[in-house]
Amino acid sequence: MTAHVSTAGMFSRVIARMEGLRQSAIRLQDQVSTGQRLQRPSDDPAAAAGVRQGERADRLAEADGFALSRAAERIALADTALETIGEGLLRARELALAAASGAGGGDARQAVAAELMSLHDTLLAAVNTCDPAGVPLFSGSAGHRAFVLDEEGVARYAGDAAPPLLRFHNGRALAVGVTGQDIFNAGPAGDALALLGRVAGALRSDPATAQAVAATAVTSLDDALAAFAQVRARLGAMDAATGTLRDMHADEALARAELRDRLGGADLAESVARLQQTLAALEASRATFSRLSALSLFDHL
Amino acid sequence: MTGTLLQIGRSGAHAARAALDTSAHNIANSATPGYTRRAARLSVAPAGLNPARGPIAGGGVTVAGVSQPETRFLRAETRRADTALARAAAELDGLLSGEAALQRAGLSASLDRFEASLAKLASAPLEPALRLEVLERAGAVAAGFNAAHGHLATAGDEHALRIEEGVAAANGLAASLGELNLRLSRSQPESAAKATLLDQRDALLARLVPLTGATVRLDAVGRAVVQLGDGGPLLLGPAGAAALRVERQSDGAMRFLAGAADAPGVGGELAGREQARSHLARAVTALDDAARQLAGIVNTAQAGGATPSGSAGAPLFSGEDAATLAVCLSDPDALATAGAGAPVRSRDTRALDALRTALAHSGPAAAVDAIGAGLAASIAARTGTRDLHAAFAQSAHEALGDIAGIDLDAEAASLLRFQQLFQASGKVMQTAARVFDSLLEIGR
Repeated sequence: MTAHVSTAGMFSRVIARMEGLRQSAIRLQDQVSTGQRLQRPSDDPAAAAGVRQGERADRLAEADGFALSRAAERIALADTALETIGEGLLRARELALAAASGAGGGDARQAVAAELMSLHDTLLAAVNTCDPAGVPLFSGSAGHRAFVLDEEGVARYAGDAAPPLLRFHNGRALAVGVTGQDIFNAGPAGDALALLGRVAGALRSDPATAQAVAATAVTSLDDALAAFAQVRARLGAMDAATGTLRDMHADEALARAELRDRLGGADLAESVARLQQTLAALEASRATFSRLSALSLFDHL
Repeated sequence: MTGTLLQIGRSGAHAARAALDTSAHNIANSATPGYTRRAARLSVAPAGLNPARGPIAGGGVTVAGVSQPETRFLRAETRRADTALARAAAELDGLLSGEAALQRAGLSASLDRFEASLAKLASAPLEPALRLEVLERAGAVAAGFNAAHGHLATAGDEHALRIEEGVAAANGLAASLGELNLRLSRSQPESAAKATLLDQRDALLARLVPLTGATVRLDAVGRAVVQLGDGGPLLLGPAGAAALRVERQSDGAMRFLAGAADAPGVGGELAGREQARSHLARAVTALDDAARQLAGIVNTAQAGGATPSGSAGAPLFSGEDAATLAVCLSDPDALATAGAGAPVRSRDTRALDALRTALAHSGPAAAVDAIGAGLAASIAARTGTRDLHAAFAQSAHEALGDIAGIDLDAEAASLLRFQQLFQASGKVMQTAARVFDSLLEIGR
């Protein structure tokens, strides 16, 4: 429509175009140097929301990882303690069997009684084991020791029945640890720890019934050992489960990182190529502009 | 006869001088903003009657006046495009400042870390270090809410302030236009002085209209009548100006008034800024809601739980809104992690679990994210609108510039043309002198 283009218009047009090129070059340069396509959420709201969800999941998963490694440490400690307890129960059964046979005299009985008492103390110490932070391993959710001696010197379970449950941010939950009740009170004969105390007491002070008491105790200890084997198996399963969860969390973190990269990351090859292209266009427009502006009728006046 | 010839030559040389002056003036102002190209309008001088010879061709040329290209409609178009651009840009500006305010406060990350610290605590609820971490993270969340509220409120205040400044500027521009109207009605048509006045008028309108979104009518003399909206109050009428005013309402909204009446037709940058301010105010309200939600959830969990000593928990957060949210517990042992009725030093985590569930699903973190996502979506949509208006405005300015601006090549060509006219007119005068000389020779 217009026959001529004003000189100021030509300059401002060229300046506007070059400014646009320069800005997109800077944006691409930012993408290349930061590796991020999104400098602000509004650059791509949908992708930014995805990236934000990923960041949140990462932060929460980090806490889950902390809880999981704490749980794994406690499970390892519990396993060591259970090993001691298992050996102790086996030895106690052997001793009860010997006492039930009635072999040897009073001295032998006293020796068995002494060893049973020391086994009782060993098992009590093992089941009251604490983690390095001083938290008991087998008391359920109670903060104090699992077994305490009552006024008659009988060990009683003082914790509760609830095994600690770890909940993770993605809805998974994992029971961690077993209670002292599970370890010693599983059999129909009741508390195995109290049983050891009873047998030792009978051997020491009541030779008449000692043999019969020991014979019953062997059966009870068989039951206790069978139940104990199940408890150990459960702990082993928990150990395996923490390992599985840790792997799953690692996989999920990797998947999130990939997703975030795809949503918000810059494609380096593409960004660099487009930067080159933009710079080339900028240089070309500078060159043509300087040629164009060098042309002037005033040279001919 | 030689007198007429000399007269005609002189008129040609005079016209050429005037045209050369005009070109020189155009060249000198080729980079002056708001300058409209001038041209010397030449017209044929009326022919006299030579009593000795009868009718002759004419009396040469006269400079009738200084003319400017017709740009009335292009200017109106440019003002319309600038108004739409100013409104979109101001609104976008507000949304961007809101987004930056939220990002700077880092509130989402603080909330995540607070929830993560609760998750860690659940793995060892009595560990003092983890309890302390929860308190620290809660403090960071409160600080994040305070900062986000502060940034958003500051950004909103800035827009309110700029609305007030814009209103003052609009009144100043309208007053200047009123003075120009007076001078225009006294100026000579087609004079150089009038051309300058018209340029000044257009420059003032180019600022006033995008600022207020007013409509402009020009009369035959070039005086401007400025009206808010279509049929709204007159900002500048033939009889004078009505001052634009703005009042801050109790809810923070800005109400525009012209004189004593409401001014609903305000558009342009002022309306865009008011929209920006209301976007920011809505974000602040949503942020306050999220802060109250957080305090409610956490304090309810505290009250419904048991501390390691067995008592019910005291509130962890105090405050009415995002600005006043604060942590009011300093003792890590006052955190209630166990369910109500749990024994002393219980490692039960029922209260903690309930708290984590309430926070994780449609909790304050989701609410804060929704504020940011809402702003981001609005920005993305309005950036497109702004860019569109910017492109319209640029092409309108380019079209106007091509008509009103200076083309140096064209000016160079007209310099050559009028230089030749001047030389040719000189020749005419020389010829007249020679003829006169010849006549004198004959008489000798």
